[in-house]
Amino acid sequence: MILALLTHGAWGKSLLTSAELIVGPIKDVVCFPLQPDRSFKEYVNEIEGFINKNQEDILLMADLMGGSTFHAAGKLSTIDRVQAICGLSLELLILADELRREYPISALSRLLIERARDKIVDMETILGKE
Amino acid sequence: MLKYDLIRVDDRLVHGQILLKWMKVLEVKRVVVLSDDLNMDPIMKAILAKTVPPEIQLSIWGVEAGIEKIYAENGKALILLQDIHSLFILFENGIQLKQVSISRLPCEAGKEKIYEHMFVSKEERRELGVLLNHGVEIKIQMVPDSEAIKLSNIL
Repeated sequence: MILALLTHGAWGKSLLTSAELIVGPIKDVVCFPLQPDRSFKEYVNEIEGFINKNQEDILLMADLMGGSTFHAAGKLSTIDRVQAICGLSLELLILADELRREYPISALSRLLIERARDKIVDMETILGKE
Repeated sequence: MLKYDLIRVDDRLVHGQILLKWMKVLEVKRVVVLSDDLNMDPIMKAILAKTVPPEIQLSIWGVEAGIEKIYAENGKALILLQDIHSLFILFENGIQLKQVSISRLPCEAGKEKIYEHMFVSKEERRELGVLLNHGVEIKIQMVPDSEAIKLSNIL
């Protein structure tokens, strides 16, 4: 299974580097940076071309709900063997890399959301209010 | 008739905070998208319908049908178009282009760079020329807070 990072600008690549600092080399991740000079159509076509060339399952991970990366992921999620999720973060990337070793793509989005949801917390909740 | 102060051209159409920023400045809660591509794309239409903030009213029409709707509908809106050609069709059909704001014009095959993030085809160059010649005020501006460039200064 391939993880595809759909990001505004090139931060997907930095994110991958940072994730690798924590868990070591991560294979089968591909970045699709959306740059201001590129048209939305061309962006979608590029990702679609990649999907067609690789017969593996692909999880698209977009960085901003309502943004163009999110729309591209949504459009392409109708392809069989492609799933899409939004809310890309270091947390989500590391989780996805772990979970894809154990679970099929059909189960991944739901599991990721379940497990990532608890990871946005405030310290007051953890430490209790003085 | 639908009232509007601004017509916005953005190939990414409805996208996140950018659109919301414009709507805040313009004090409108409604966005009307005139795009044949989007109108014929049920998946994208469904995604947008389900993800625009609840306080925003979204309408998506084809360009030709949309021109009729501008006359038939009431209220105030931001009109959103996908490309220069759609803008030109509105102009040809007598829709007044008071103020036009372009986000950027992405690079595509056969297009010539006229400014940072601005690429036009021969046809678009001509269409923009006609609009400028008719006194349409066209500015290039990504978000309301960023610098606005007058198209007449660069074309």
